[in-house]
Amino acid sequence: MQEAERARENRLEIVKAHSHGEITKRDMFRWGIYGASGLIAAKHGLSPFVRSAYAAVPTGTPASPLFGAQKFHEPLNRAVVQPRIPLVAAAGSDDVLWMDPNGRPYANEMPGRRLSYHDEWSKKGANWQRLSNPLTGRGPCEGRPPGEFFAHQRWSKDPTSANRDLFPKVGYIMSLGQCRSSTKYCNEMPAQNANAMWSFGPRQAGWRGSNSGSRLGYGAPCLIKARYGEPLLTRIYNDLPVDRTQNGGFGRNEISTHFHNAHNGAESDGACNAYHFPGTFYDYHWGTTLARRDMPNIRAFNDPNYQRKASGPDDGTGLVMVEGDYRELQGTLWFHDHRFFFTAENVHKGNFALCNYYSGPDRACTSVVDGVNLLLPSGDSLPWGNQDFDVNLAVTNPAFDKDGQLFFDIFDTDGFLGDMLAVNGSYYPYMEVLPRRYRFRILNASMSRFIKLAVAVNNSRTFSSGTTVPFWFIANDGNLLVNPVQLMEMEEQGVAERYDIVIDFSAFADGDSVYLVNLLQQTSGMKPDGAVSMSNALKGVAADPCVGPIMEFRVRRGGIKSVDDPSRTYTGLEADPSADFSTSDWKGGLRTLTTQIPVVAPVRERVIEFNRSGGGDSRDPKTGQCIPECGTIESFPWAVKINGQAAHSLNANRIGALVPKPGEVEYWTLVNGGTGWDHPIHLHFEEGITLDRGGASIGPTEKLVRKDVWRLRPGGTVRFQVRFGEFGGSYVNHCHNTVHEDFAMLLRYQLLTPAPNDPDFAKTGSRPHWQISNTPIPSPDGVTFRVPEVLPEAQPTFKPPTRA
Amino acid sequence: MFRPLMRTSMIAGMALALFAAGPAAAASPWGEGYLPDAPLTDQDGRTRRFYSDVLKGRIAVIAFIYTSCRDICPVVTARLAQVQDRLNQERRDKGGAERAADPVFVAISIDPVTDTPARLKDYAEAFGVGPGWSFLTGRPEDIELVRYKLGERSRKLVDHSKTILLYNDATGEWARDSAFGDLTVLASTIRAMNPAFSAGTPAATGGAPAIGEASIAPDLPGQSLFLKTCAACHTVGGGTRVGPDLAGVGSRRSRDWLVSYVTDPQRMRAQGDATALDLARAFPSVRMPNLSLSDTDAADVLAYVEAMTYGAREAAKDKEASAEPADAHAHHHHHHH
Repeated sequence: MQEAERARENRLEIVKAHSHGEITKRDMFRWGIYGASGLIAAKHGLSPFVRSAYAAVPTGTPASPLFGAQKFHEPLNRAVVQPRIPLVAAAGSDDVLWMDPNGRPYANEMPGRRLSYHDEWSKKGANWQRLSNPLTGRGPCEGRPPGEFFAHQRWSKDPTSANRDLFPKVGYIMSLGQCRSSTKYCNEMPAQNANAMWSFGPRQAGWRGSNSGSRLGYGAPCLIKARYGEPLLTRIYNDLPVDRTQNGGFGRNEISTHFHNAHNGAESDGACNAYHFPGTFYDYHWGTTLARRDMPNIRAFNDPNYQRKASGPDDGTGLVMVEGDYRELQGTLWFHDHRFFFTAENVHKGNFALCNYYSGPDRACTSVVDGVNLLLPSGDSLPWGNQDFDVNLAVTNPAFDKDGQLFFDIFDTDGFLGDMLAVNGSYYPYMEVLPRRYRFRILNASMSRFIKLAVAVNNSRTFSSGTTVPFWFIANDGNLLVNPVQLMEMEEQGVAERYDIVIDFSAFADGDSVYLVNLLQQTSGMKPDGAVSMSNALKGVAADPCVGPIMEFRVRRGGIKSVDDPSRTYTGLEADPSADFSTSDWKGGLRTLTTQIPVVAPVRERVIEFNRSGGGDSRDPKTGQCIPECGTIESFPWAVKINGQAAHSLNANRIGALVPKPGEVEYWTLVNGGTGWDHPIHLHFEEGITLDRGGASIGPTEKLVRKDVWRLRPGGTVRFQVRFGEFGGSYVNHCHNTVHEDFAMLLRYQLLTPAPNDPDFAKTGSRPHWQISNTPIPSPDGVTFRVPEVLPEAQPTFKPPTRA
Repeated sequence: MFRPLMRTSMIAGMALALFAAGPAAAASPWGEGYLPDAPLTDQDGRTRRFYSDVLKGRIAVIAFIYTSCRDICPVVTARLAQVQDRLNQERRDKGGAERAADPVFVAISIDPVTDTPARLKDYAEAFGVGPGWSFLTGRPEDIELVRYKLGERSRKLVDHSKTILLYNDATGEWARDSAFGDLTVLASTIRAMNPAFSAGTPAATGGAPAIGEASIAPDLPGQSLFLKTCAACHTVGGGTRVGPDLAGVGSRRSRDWLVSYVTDPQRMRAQGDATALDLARAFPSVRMPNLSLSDTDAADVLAYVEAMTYGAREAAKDKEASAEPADAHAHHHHHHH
């Protein structure tokens, strides 16, 4: 152990040798002679040759100590469902009150309001002290920037308002805090220190907080069960230590929560440089807005149920109709930190949680048969949001230091890879399942690791070990496919991608065991090496300990307790009323999960090239000759072309003016300009319909499927159709290898809403968002604004230039 | 009675929080012990050990450079020089003397064979950097060690990292940033690396507009591009900086020449264009870089320069009209390159 830890300190030599392949005498000599003090492995009594004993993963650091942990010894943590707090509109203002179980407002929890509390705090009136950060006494209690640009859009309790239905009804008070004292990846491993892991957890109304942080975070991911027609107000408190150096070696105590990829205003998107400080909260208005709400003319009118499908479940068997296009319904979502320059560290540290949007068609209850409900596997104990057979699985990729504490190499700029996969914060867990259909909502929540999952028999009375088990792929990034696709293995899954699948365990006998297997080997943060065969994956791969089974399903004919109704135990004799995709109605396409959004001619086409290498090489375009030599040119983070016109990535006057008005159809082509990397690129706020991958193959889980993250593949291209609408403000498009994101592979775009002279102005509820915004600059003493030195967003005044 | 008590305890609490930063340094895995102490050489030829002479006890802004870079990297140095100016200016405005707590700037050459101390000295002078800025070179293996440890792990020079690193040795804290963001924000981020500074002072961002207002930024084409990439080296009517003053450049050169030169100066020099070679001789240490501008970008930038030229000329006229005799300074505006 000591040796390994010394090796960790000397990981420079280790990795260098690995990249050199062979270690020569010259290397030895050189290290012996030239090394700076404290860096030479040999001086610590550790031969540099020891490096060959380590696999390439985790990158640049020795294997994580396991403390005798065994795989598949502990049950899966289920995501922790967050308590709902009813909200009631306050009399005489547009505030909302947080209600206690007795129906009275919590005395010590500030009401939610349209404008940030920063506005009132800045006036330094009578309430100034009460409105200040309770821990530091500096700055306001709310981290949301002041002013109309950061006021909640479409926030009105006025019964005559077009947006009355988006006024929040249910609230969540969450803490982003230090992990609870008992947080462990498994029993054998040591508990995580308070500042080793920071994650979400529920927060008591009125909790005061502490300067040294509050241990309110869970190791397992939290889950918000949301439904269309029931808008949320989510208050997130920063319960991290006030002293930002108390971070256990990585992570920043300033947080910004991006709801990936819900349809929210920019002020609630959590990516607009509006991070906040310990002691403060930020109110996010997550209105469950259904996209195309403002475009009633483009509904799927040929579907007789098109209105009823645009709905959320009520508490009985009914539906709450909402405005919007049901083809835009979303399901499996998540939210995570987006603090610029620190996203990778913070998300790796645990700063993420899950959110499922339930809708009329996807209500997660198999006892409501109304012609709209798709009857996806879930359960029937609750009127919606059952989880007995509908399971969120968040896959993470940790590594540990010698003390078993979460480790991250802040200098690993290619992308840091850990050496194990955890599911819902459990080290290689098992889950007991009944012999019936289950839906799994699988999220890749790593920093830089791609995965490719499949299902295989471990032990069975009927099937031989290693047999691949087919499953149905039903949703990509939270968007239902039109037709479920039967697969033997999944596509690669990049960071932030969500794949929903249905596995049918009914062919298995009591005591059978089935594995969820990762087939994808990756030893560099830049891109995966490639998939291995199932048999090799089950044997294990020396170079990458993350290849192989990551979770076990143990089939039990009964005796499994319900999570939805703790008083209930399944006998295994219950009928399975969930949709069976192997029937002819589904296979023949008579029944579908949703309806295809038509592909139409775009108003404009944008080509965005990530990691473009300059303008190409220095060859003369006419003669092809090199003058003076064919040197390569410095690479830029990205480059943009709009309708064929190129613009420099720093020409914000031109490229920033991205979306001049809502509702127009655009085609975006994302190009991976560098050849050696794969980038999962994420578009905030809207989903795109994946059209093609240039000339390359495109699988059935992507073709014409709505997505919000695309793996570009090394040297690859992807094109999608997208339409923006409903909200305004500044959003981003970026690489979701969170390490690359921190290295500025990030493009901002501004959506402009209708101007006051536009008849649609009143309807939008977006006030100043038809104009350019100033840049918020958060500080512990409050937010200031600056006229941008360069315009990050600008008026769309593009005219092709003419040469004089 | 109650209120003053509250204040005192609040301040005491803050003092404690500051103290708490002390022991953290020892706990940081990325401080002394992690950082190599390799002997490097600065632009004055002095040997400087990387940890104990350059970083120890300091707040540092670190960038990776190489002087032969023909592309965007000189702009990083030029923009950091602007940040340094800004930090120095703010200190002078407050009447402060230079202190040990002032951030030092460190530019590490990743091409140590080419970048001799003399060459780095010329480079530093071309950018007019102030004191407290070390340009470091050294033995290739030492440089490799330093840059690897700091996460600059590119395989080719042209792939090198354009991000900058901020470090405070007292707290053991690291942060990354970009030289292409807002320089005022960058300056305040650098100041906030010092916990003593960030405690109790509202973010001094200078000229902050009213909250939540729409931006009053003028929307001149090419403005953003000029400010991001050109203004670090050129002024319009403000005199020579790293490169020539661009006031009136539209009447000195033909439009086609300007577009060609702005989009690909390297090609112009290679083709032996006399004017391009004259410029290279006049500004020998830093050549006009190739910034991959398209023709439309070039048109934007030139339009902006023309607008600013007009503005500068009008301003000068107004000045002359209001104060007839004072034209001694006006001569400065008439450099011709």
